[in-house]
Amino acid sequence: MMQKTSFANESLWVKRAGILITLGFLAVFIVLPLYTIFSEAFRSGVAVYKKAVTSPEVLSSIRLTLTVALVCVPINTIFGTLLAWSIAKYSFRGKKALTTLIELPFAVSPVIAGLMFVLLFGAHGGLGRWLQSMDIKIVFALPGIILATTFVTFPFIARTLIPLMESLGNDDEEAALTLGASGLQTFFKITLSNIKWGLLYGIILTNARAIGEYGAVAVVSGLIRGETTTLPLTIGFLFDEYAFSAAFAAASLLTLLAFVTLILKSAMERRLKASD
Amino acid sequence: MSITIENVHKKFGSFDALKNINLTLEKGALTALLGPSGSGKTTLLRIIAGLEEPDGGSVHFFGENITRQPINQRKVGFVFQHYALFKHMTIFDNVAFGLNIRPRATRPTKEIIKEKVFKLLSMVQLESMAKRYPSELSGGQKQRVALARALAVEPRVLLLDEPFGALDAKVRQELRRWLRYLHDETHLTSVFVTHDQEEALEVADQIVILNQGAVEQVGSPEEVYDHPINPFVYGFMGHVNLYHGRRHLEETRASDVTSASNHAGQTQLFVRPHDIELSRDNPSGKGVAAQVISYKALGNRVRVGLNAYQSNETIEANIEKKSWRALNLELNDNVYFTILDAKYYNDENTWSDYVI
Repeated sequence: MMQKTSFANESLWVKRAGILITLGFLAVFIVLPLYTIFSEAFRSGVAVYKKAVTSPEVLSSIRLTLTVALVCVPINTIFGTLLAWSIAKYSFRGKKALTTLIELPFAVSPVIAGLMFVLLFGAHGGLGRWLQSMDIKIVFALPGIILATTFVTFPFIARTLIPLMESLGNDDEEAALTLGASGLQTFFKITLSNIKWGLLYGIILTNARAIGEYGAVAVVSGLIRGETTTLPLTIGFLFDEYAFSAAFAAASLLTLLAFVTLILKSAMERRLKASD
Repeated sequence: MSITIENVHKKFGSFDALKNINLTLEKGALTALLGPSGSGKTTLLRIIAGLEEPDGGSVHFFGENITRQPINQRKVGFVFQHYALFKHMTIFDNVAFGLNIRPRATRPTKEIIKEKVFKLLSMVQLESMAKRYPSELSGGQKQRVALARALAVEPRVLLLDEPFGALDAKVRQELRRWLRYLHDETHLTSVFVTHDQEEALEVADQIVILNQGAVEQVGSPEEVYDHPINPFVYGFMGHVNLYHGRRHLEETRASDVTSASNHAGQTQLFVRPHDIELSRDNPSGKGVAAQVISYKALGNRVRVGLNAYQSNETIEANIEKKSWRALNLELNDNVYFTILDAKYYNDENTWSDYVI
C-alpha cells in the first residue's frame, strides 16, 4: 500500500524520464544491433542475400546444426525428465548435491566444457586412444559436437520441471495407482499431461541454445570448415574473412530462429501459468 | 475381520510415526481414524492403501496378507483431501479412468463403462457434469467425483484421507451425512481419517483414537465419548474444551472442588463446560462462588468465563442462551457454579466417574 501511494505520487517527469532512459537503453543495446543484422544482410540486395544463404557452406552448416539439435533435444528431454522426476518425487541421499550438480553446465564457461570433452575423448587420454584404436571418432566430429551441445543444454529441462513437479505433488499419480494403473500408464496418462507445457518450454529453451551454441562446439569440433562447422561457427568464419554480407545473411537466419523461439516461449509461459 | 493390522510400525528419519499398531477393523463398518496432527493417522491409512510401506508388521485384507502387494493390485479406493482429480480429463473420463486403463482382456466394453460411469455419477448427483472439467466444479462436487472415481473400480475397501478437510463448514456437514448415507447403501468396508471429533462421532460406526503414533482407544462413538479411557481421549473428545485442576480425592463434594488443592492424594478432575450450571443464589448449597470474567454468545449457547474466588482458577462454562438470559448477568457479577458431572483419572490413567 505504502509503496503504491509513493509511486503514484511520483512527479510526472520522473516517471517519463525513467521510461525514456529504459527505452533508450533498449534501443541502443537490442533494437539497433538487430536492425544492423538485417540491414547488413540485405545491404547488397536480395539476390546476394539469397546466394549467401543457399551457398553450399551455409547449407551444410544448417544441416549440421539441425542434426545436432535433433539428436540433442530428445536426449535432454528424456534424461532431463527422468532426472526431474527422481529429484521431485523421491528423497534420497545426495539429492541436494545432485540438484546443485545439474547447474554445473551453466556455471562453467562453454569453452571449458568443450575442452573437457577434448581431453576426455581426444588422443591425449587413455579413453581417446582406445576409441582411436577402435576407429571411433568423437572429438573433431559429429559425436563430439553432439556431446558438447548436450552437456551445455542439459540443465534447461530439468530446471524447468523440478519446481513444477514439486508444486504438483504426488496426489494425481497416487490416485492413478490406487485405481489400478501401472507405473508407465501413470507417467504417460497423468504426469506427462500435467507437465506438458513446462516440458515444451524446456524443450524450446534447449533447442534455442543447441542451435546457437558457439564456445563449446568451437573447441570440440576442431573447426573443420564445411565438415564440423555449425551455423554459428560458419558465421564466425565468414565474418573473419570480411564476407560481411554472407555473414550477416547467415546471422539473420539464426536471429529469425531466435524470434520464433521467443514467440513460442512466451506462448508456453502463458499456458504454463494458466495450467497452474 | 476385514482389515487386520499387526505390529505395524513406521519411522520417518528418527521420528516414530507409528509405534507397533495392532488393530482390527470390522467388515462393512465405517471406521474413523481420529487424532491430532502428527498422531500417525494418515500414515496408517496410507500404509493400508499401500502408498507407504511399513518398516515392520503386516496388513491383511480379509485374511490375505497384502503387506508386500503393490498399490495398483490392492483394489483399494482412495479419496484424497485435495481431490486429486485429473485436471486434463472430463468428469466422465476421471470416473472411467480405472476401467479404461485395464488390459483389453479384463476391460469392460465401452457401453458397459459408460453405463457404469453414469450410474455412479447419478449416485453422486453429478450426471449433468459429465462433460465438464474439474476446474469448473466446486470443492464439494469435486470430492463427490473423486468418490465416484474410487468406487468405479469396485474396491475391496474404501479409504478416505481427511475427505472433507478442504471444504467449508456447510458443505462439510452435507457431505458427512451423505457419506454416511452412501455407506449405509453400499456397506463397503471404509476407513476415513479426520482430526475433527464431531465428524467422527457423527459419521463413524467405530472410532480409533490415535496419539503420537499409538492407539489410545478403539470403540463405538458412544463408548469413546461416554467412557474415555484416559485424559487424552477425554480431552480430545470434548466438544469445546475442558476444565481440569488438581483436586483432593477424599473430598468428593462439588463445593470443595476448588478448595484443598494443596492436599496429598491429588488427582485431575475433568469437567466439560456444558456440565457446569450457573446460579445467582446457590440454592443447592453446593455451588462455588465465582466472578464472571467474560462471555460470548455462540449460536444458541453462551460461553462464560469464570474466576473462582477461593482458588483463583479460571473455569469455562457453556450454558444455554435461555438460562443465560434468565440469569441476567453482567461482567464482574458474582455467580455460583455447580459441577453436574466430572471424571477423574488415577495414576494408572484409568477413568472413574466422579460421584456428586
